[in-house]
Amino acid sequence: MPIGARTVSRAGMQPGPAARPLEPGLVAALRGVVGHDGVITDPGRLMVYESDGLTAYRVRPTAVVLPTDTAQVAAVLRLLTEAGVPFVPRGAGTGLSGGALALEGAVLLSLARMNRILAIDAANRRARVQPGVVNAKLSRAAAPHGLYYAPDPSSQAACTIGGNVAENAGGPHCLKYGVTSNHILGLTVVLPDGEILELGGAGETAGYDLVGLFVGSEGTFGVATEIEVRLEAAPEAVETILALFDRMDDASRAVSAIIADGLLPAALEMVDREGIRAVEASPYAAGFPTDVAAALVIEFDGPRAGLLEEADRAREICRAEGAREVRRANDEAERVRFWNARKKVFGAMGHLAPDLLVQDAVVPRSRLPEVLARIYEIADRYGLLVSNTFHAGDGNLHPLFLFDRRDEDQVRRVEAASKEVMHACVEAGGTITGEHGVGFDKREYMGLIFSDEAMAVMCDIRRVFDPRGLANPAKILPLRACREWAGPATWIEEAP
Amino acid sequence: MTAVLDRLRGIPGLHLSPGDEGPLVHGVAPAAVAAPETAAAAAEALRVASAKRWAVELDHGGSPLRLAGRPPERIDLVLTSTRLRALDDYAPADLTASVGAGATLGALAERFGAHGQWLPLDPPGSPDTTIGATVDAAAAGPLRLGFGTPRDHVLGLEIVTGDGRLLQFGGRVVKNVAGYDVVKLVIGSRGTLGLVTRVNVRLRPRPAADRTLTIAVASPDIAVELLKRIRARRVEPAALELHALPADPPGAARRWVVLARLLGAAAAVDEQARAVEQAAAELGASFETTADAPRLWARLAHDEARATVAVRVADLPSEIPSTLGLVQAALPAIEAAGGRWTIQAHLGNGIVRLLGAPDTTHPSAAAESHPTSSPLPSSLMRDWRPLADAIRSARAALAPRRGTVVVAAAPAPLLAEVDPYGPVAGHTLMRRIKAQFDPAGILAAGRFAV
Repeated sequence: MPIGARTVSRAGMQPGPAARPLEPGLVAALRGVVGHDGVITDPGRLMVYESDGLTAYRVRPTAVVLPTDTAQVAAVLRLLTEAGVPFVPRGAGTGLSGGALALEGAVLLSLARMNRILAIDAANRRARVQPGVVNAKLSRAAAPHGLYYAPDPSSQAACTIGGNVAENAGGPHCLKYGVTSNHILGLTVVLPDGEILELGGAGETAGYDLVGLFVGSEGTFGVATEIEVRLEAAPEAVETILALFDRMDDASRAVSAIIADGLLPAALEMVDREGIRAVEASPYAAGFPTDVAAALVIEFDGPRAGLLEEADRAREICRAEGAREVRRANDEAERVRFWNARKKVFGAMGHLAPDLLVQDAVVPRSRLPEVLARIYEIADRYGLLVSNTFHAGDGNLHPLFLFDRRDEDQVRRVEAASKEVMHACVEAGGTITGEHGVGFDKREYMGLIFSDEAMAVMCDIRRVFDPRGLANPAKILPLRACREWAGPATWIEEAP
Repeated sequence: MTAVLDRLRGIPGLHLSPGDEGPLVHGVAPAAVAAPETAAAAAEALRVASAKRWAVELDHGGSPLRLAGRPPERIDLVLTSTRLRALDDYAPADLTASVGAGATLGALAERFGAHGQWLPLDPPGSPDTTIGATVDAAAAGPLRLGFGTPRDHVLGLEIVTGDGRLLQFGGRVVKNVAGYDVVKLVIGSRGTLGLVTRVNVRLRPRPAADRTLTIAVASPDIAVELLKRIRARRVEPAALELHALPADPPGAARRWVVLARLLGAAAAVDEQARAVEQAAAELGASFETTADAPRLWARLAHDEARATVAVRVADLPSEIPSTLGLVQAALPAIEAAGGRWTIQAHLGNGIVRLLGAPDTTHPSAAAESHPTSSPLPSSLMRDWRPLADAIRSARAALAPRRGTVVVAAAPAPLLAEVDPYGPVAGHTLMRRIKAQFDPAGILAAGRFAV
């Protein structure tokens, strides 16, 4: 999700020691694979790779390698593994959990040059792409066939399909269509030792769902070098509603009431007062009243017959729950204005404060009223400004804290408030991340939702893919979670 | 063995019964059957079994293990989830529920239906099929076209690993990317990683209208053309099946029907039905609204689960005519070797199923009309080699396109002739993963693809 301002999590923290430069021999060998300009070692040019979308953490990679195809990735990983050098795959660097930080002296494997759409198979509603293809570009390429790629992270104009696979990314339209993993049919992956595997594909695979396991593994299993995705048929019609509420609680209850009524909107998004004010103060101002407490953007799509009736029912529910006003988008221009009220909030917020911290958590949607009240209470107690603009239909919260990182006290308060919010969401039966991933930032929250034994199992699974621990080290799992690894020897006694 | 049985008997909440009351797996009876009332009891039982290196089969009721996988050499213990049937943790407002693995799909449908909700999964089987068995096999039926397979419906689960660790993965919320997606790893793992004891599912609002059209088509090519034209009219059926009806009279050409299930708002279903009918009429196909469609779908699911042989041939949907061509070309030799064969296809998903049942007109098969209690129907075919040859050559033909041929159910004589799974990409990784969940290697060892 694009954030105009800088973000911070734990100010001043420098993860990991400074890395030593790569051996010249290794650099030469890597250049032998990807060409001279495919390896960046110049410190000035490495600076832009220091962080992802969570810019509080900055680590300069030892080098950036830019392969162009599967064979190059395999050759690069073989060289790095032989040298014992860790690596971090990176898409567009829009991630918000520090997942693409090059810790422990890692080389960044940028997939930016692997940006080709390899095939669009309209008859079977599939596409095969390289990981560096930008999300929105895939939908544009599929559009002439009446198809599109459904997962639509707010950063879709920049983020890549490979990054989406790594994070199991979501987006507003996941309410009806599901997240990335529901749309990935097959993967070509390169394991850390350079082995190439074709997972999934056209048929029904026997054995374990390694595609499902790989999606969301945040680059810790290896690198997906080709991705086969499911495309959806573009809906025949769309109905979009904007409902304005004087009380946040009423808006939250309307969310639950719409779902409980048996309606399944394509998207059901909430923007709070701060969000609306920020957008109205920006170039995307659409003339929405700035004194409302919350707005809902509700979209239905599907066959034209019956769609308006569904939208009308949602409008009635909003009114019954106390909406001040409910508008229907009469044309595409108005629909875009409604969506700007949602999608441009984070960018617009950047003008209100020097720094922003966006959190990501999920709660059962029936718990939204109490959890939202709790978030505002927490922010109040810490004297902070918070805005909630989020995927309400999924219960996927994105509390956004505004602050100034030069003020150390404010930074401490943001950190403390952020942690309390995370605890509140877990206590309400939720989880610590719905779409941004754990990365580096949320490792210490893992223990809130997983037992030590469950995390140990995850460590074991990771080692199956990456026995030497070279793929995106120090991410996802808190270090204490991983017990001593006996190594491949434990596999010898396998049943035949 | 007696001493171990005594130890199991001492586990609170574990019901132990003699093996002859348990499910037969390829005709093999277990030494004992243990039905835990709690996940903790299941964990204790697996700790004991693991320490003693017992051969364990994990079961969720019904008879899905009857002919699944390769035959076991011996079974010391069947651990079954049939007493883990909790339905109480249901949050209609959130459209989620957490249910015991032994809960039947029939009981779930009733419970969720009372709130106008449903779990849109229609795997082979009957209303007595459990959610545990469905998750275990990643089983899905015709509704997979509109709603996907268990991996698209399961939000979280609880599992007892082979060595008795009780673990929870995923959660109750519809979006969750914390940690690895172990839930997807477990779905379809056939009880080789552990006993699933609880499943958290995502529900959907039950559509107001539900209509099935039956369209008689002259050939699979016409069926694919029909699919194309239906989609060009922006109709998205929730299920689209192609079935070959038995030749009548025998020896005549098979007749083909397409079943199209339309779900949604009443007005939308009306309009979609009209569009499908127009597409059918353009192709000269006759059509009708299916009377008593729920019973038809239930019967098809039931028949598929009872098949003695089930071979699944999967390729891209557009390749259905050629996939069916492979199956049809092999059929005369297969039929000549015995059995009664039907062909069904998930038209929109590219999956063809060849289902074999004993030919009840043949005197030797008369004893096999109650397959759960009868001896194994290994006499279905006089010669299994034509079927085995067909499976091998279909695998070779599909390999370049990464299509697959999987034997989902078969008696031992076929499995002696042909591997049920064929090559499995990532097999080494899978074996290593299994070793982490089941270090003693006691769960369904060597029976399934992993």
